[in-house]
Order: sequence, then C-alpha cells, then structure tokens
Amino acid sequence: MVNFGNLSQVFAFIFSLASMAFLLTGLMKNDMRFIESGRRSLYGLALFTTLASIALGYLFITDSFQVEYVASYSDRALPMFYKVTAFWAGQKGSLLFWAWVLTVFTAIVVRNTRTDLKSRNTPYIYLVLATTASFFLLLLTSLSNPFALLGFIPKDGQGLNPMLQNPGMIFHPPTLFLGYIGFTIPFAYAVSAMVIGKLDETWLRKTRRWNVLSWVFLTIGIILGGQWAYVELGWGGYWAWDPVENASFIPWLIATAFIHSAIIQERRNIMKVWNMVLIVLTFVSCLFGTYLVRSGVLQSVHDFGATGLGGYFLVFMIVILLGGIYLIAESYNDLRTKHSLESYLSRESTFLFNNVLFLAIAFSTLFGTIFPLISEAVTGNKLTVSQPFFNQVNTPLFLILLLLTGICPLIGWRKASADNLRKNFLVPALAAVIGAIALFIAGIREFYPLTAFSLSIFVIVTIFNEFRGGTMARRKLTGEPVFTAFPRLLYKMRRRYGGYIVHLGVVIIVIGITGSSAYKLETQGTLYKGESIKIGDYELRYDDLRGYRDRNRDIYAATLKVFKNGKPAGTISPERRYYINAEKPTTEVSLRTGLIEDLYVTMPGIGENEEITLKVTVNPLLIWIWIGGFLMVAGGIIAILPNRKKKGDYNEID
Amino acid sequence: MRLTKYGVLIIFSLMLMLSVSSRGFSLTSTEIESNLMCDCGCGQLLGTCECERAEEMRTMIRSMMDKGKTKEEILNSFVSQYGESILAAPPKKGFNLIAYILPFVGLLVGVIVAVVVVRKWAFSGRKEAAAEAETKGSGLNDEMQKKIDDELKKFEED
Repeated sequence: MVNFGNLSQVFAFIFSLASMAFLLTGLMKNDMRFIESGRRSLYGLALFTTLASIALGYLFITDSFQVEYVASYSDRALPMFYKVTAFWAGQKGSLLFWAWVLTVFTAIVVRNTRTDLKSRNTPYIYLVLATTASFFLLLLTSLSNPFALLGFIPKDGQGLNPMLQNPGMIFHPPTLFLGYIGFTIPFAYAVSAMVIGKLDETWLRKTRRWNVLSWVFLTIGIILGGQWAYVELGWGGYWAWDPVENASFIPWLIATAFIHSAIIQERRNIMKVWNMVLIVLTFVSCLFGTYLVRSGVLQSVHDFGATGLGGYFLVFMIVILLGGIYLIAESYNDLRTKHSLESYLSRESTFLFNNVLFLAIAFSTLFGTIFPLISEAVTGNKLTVSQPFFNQVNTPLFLILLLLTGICPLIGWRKASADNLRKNFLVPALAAVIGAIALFIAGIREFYPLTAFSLSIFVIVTIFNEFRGGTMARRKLTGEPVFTAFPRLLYKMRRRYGGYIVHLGVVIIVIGITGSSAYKLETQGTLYKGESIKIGDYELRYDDLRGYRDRNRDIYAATLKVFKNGKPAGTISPERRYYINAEKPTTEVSLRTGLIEDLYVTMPGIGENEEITLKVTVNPLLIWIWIGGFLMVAGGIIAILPNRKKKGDYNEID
Repeated sequence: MRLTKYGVLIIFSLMLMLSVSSRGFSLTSTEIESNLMCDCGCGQLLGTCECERAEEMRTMIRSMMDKGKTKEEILNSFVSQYGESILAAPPKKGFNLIAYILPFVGLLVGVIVAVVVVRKWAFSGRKEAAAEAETKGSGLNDEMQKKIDDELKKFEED
C-alpha cells in the first residue's frame, strides 16, 4: 500500500504537469484536441490524489508504523475514529489533504464547464488550477512525502497529541482547508478573466457560490477552532489571537470585504479593479496561513515548526502576488469603468466604507502578527504581540464595523432621501438609546460593553425591521399568514435575507464575546475532600476522586457537587488524563452550559493526598457565540441555495 | 458634502472616545497573567499555559501582589528579569508605537480615499443626471417622476 500511495502521488503529479503542458500547447496552437486532453488529465489528477489519500487512510487504519508519518501521529491504542483524522494532524498529511480537495474541486469545475470548453477563458481556469495542484504535488513527491519510510518497523507509533483527540479536531482543520482551497476557484476565474480581457461581472456571477461556500467553510473552521479551544485547552477562552488563528481570520476578513464589493459590481458594474485586488489578496492570504504554520518564523501553538517548506510557500505566495499585480496593471485600462453614484448617501458608499473597515482590521491583524519580525529586524529586539494588543487595537474597529452593519440596510441602493433616512433610523436609534439607558441603570457602565450592547440592539432592530417589512409586504400581496409568508420570503429572496441572517449571527456573536470577556468570573484554589470553592452564585463541593483506565488513557475524575444560590444543582466532574505516549497529563474540561452563563471547571493538579487544584470560570452569555456562528453559517448556506424551479441554476457552481 | 464631513467626524470622534476609555477593573492575578507570556516556549499566554514553569510564574505574581506591588511594578519586574518579549503586548513606546498607531493611520487613509472616491463618483453621477435631463429637454413631469420613484422603490425591495 505504501508503494501504491507513492505511485498514486507520482502519477497525480505527472497528470498535473501533463495537463499544464496540454493546456499551454492547446492555447498556443489554438488546438482544441490538446485542450481536451488537458481537461481530461485533470480528471486523472483527481483520481490519483484520491487513490493516494485512500492509501494514506488505509496505512493509518492498519497501524503501518513503518511509514514515518503514521508512526509520528498514531499508535495502536488510538481509537479508530482518531486514526482516520490523524490523516491531517501533521504537515505531510495536511498537504496531501489540500492537494486532494483542490483536485476534487478542480474536477467539479471541469465537469460543470464541459460545455464551455470552447469559451476562451475555460482553458486558463484549468491552467491556474492545474498549476496550483502541481505546486502541492511537487512538495508532496519531493520534500514532504507522507509515504516516506522509517527504514525499520517500530513496535508502536508515537501517538496523536492528546489535544487533537477531540471531535472538534475532526472538522476544524478540514473545514478551514476547504475554505482556503475553495478560494482557488474564484481566483482562477479572475486570472482567466484578466488574461482574456473579459472583464465584466460574468466571472463574479459564475463564482458567487464558490465564494460564499468557501467563506462558509472558513467561518465553520474558525468557529469550530474556537469551540475546540474552549472545550479542550482548558483556559476558559476561545480565541487567543495566536498567529495561526490570525492567519485564518485575515482571509476571512478580506473574503468578507470581497463578497460585499462583488455585490456592488454585480448590481452597478463598478469597482472592477477593486474586486480583482480583493480576490488576489484573499487567495494570497490563504497561502499566508499555510506559510506561517510551515515556516517556523513565528511562535504559535499550531505550527509544525521549521519544516523547510516555508521558503517554497513564500516564493509561491510572492509569485501569485506579483502575477496578480501584473495582471491587474495590464488590465487596468479595461477594468476601469465610468463610476458614478447618484448620491453620497447610498448603500454603495456604505459598502465602500465597510470594505475600508474590513481591510483595516485585516491590516491591523496582519501587522500585529508580523510585528515581532519587523521589530527584530529594525531594533534587534524580538517582542511578543498577543491578545492584549489585538483586543486594544481591533475592538474599536469592530465596534465601528458593527455600527455600519446596522446602518447599511437603512440606506437604500442608489440614493437615500433625508425623509427616508429619518424614517428608517428613528426606531433602531431610539431602541439603541433606550437600551443603553436601561443597561446603564442595570449596572453595565463600562464603555466597551455598553457601546457593544447598544450597537447590537441597533443592528438587531434594523434586521428585525427588514424581516418584518418584507414579511408584511408579502402578506399583503399574497394574503398568506405570517408563518407561511416569512419562510417563503426567506426562500424567494434568499440572497438578501440569507445575508441578513449572517448579520444577525455576527451581532449575536458580539453579544456573546462582550458578555463572556467583560463579565467573566474566575477563581482558583486547592481543595481537600469535603471542602468548597465559591464563585459568583455558585459553590462547588469536592466529594470524590476516582481513577480508571479508558482505552489509551488513565483518567482521574473528581466529583464536585454544585450549589447555585445555596440550592443543589447537580454535579460536575473535571478530569486529569494521562495519555499513553504523551509527555504531559492533560486536563479535561467539565462544562455546564446554559443560555445565561457557562460554569467551566478544570483540574490543573492532583496532590498526593488527593487534594485537587481547581480552576473555575463563569462565562456569561458564551453559548451565544456558538449560536451566532451557527446563524452565520446557516445564513451563508441560505444565500446560495439553488433554485428548485430552474435546474440550470445548479450550474452556477462552475 | 456636509454629510460626508459629518460622517468622517463622527467615525473619528467615536474612535477617539473608544481609544481613551478604560475599563477600570480592579487588579487580579488573572489580569496580570493575561498580560504576560509563559516562559516555557509554548507561545501561550501565562493564563492559558498549564506547565510547571507557568505555575512558578503565577506563584511569583501572587507573592508580589501579596507584597502590595502594583500591576506596573509586577510587569516591570518580569521585564527586567526576562526582557520585553515576556509581555503579551509590546510596551507603548519608541518603535512599538508604530504597531499601535499604524492600523488607525491605515483606517484614516482608507476613509479619506473612500470619501474622495465617493465624492468623485457622486459628482460624475450628478453630471450624468444633468446631461440626461438636458438631452431630454423638457425633463420629466411630476407624474412620470413619481412612477419612476415607485419603480425604484420596488426594485430596492427586491
């Protein structure tokens, strides 16, 4: 199976090169036979990366520890579930996963464009995709081969990092990868549009679903990463502004700006240059994340250390960036259109400011991430830039963005009249002011939380007004009852209302973040049996400690009786786990989650006399972060739902 | 024009207010821990790391707090011992100020560019509208204008 995997990888690489060669020859000779061969080679490419992936999966399942990658990330005691997910736990496997998904996406594009083969831009789209796949396959077959052998067969593997043995790890990395990889498709369409000079909004229309779908995957990846950090790492938080977290957030921010400005181009045929810039930046920033984890240039909890691949990714990234800049410069005159707005005050202009803010946040995040390198180069002093810096710099920017999220829907396309503005702003603004006063009276007096909550009220009322207005208009028109009119409105105008659901999700996340960060309670203490620890309304009494073996780990679980306001409220059981093959024990969080607050307990230490060290946190409103995340994803999916009546719409993903 | 000016003014006043405000929470060991990195090389905040080194550092913090040292004094003590890289955020002085200021300068430049662009587009939009009205001679009567406005309203609702 090792040889089979190796050969499959090599064949995949050959097919990618062959496809590039056929396509280039076909384009130069204007010969459709070569282009057709190039197209078919892309199917071969997808087939062989699939076979290579199956081979690696098989090697994990069958404990083939003669393979260095398998021995490094698995062991005999590892549950089957995690043996499969260990596939992408390390650098080599994640590269193969990347190549596999990219080639499968490419095959989907090839299939959906089979009737467009004669169109001039299609071979260029294929060429960009084949070239990107070649880059990954070059690394896999030469420098980072997951099928490389140890030269001996160890009795057992080194096992999977215990922190990765969590269900969140099954979906977090692959969904992030799906997002990163997905943006290759719109990038390929954009490059192709610039090369052939077909610079209208066709490429945007054809890639709209790829854009949104990739954005949805990035969103899922980021949210799941936060959720995994929260339940697994035991520090009571979900986002640490770690360089690699930032590296996933930067493309998300740029892609969000791109999705918004693409709407303007589709509606008004303006901002063509800007959209090209944004898609190039989105794709480059996706590669930047991959570069960061593989270069070892920055210290991160996620990185694979200095793998020797950083330089290759850096070169690839620079080539893409310079190539993109060159193409945009070359097409600049054709991309320039006569821009005109009917008024300063229009949704178009608010979208422009929203783009500025997204990019400002992306810039501050990027700048903070690489500032230690800049500082070292300039002053010789290596600094750390972590959570406090990003919170301080980005929070004001996020609040302004939140304000814009509320303002945008209130301002109509093209031209907003003063009357119209007064009418639209009155209710949300009043609600926000009344809300702010009520919150102030209730004791929320710190500036950031009060502002964030008041702005959230403003945005929620705005969105609610949009839904109410639409539903009532439909009801009036069709006579349908509200409960029928609303879902039908949602489906019929899913692009618009899907977007509003995403906005609603964002606001709910803001509420969750504000509550859980500004009003978090924390305490720590060491308890002997029978002793208690108090936090907020809670009291936790240490009753028992038991130890047992479960599969690949020894577990010590404490039983704590929980009292809320003096009344019994069940038990909670944090654990300390000693994984076979792991250097250090890990803590397993015990979590009681609710709509108002989470009670979060970890046990960082157990003493000789069974005394336990406890870290207890009460995180208000934290669950709303996950609920908001779910809404964002749901809204994104609703926005790209295909039309049932028109079969042809499915081909929008092409 | 006036509205744009006010818009920019409001955004930056808001930013200013936000940047000068402080939360003013009382000092806890957690707050100090969230301003320091763990020294074990894990790249994590002290508050999040669970290694022995982190525990030693926490003990040092608690002992300094017991002696009545302020947050600044405790942080300075760590800096003198381990260097500035022990801080989770670069101190706001010298070259580091760039990190704090540049994002806002970037935003300011972005907003100015956006304002200029919107003004330019709106100007060309007005010119276009005027030219259109001129070529049509008599222009639109009130009834026709109302019809167009209604259609536009419907279009917006779609």
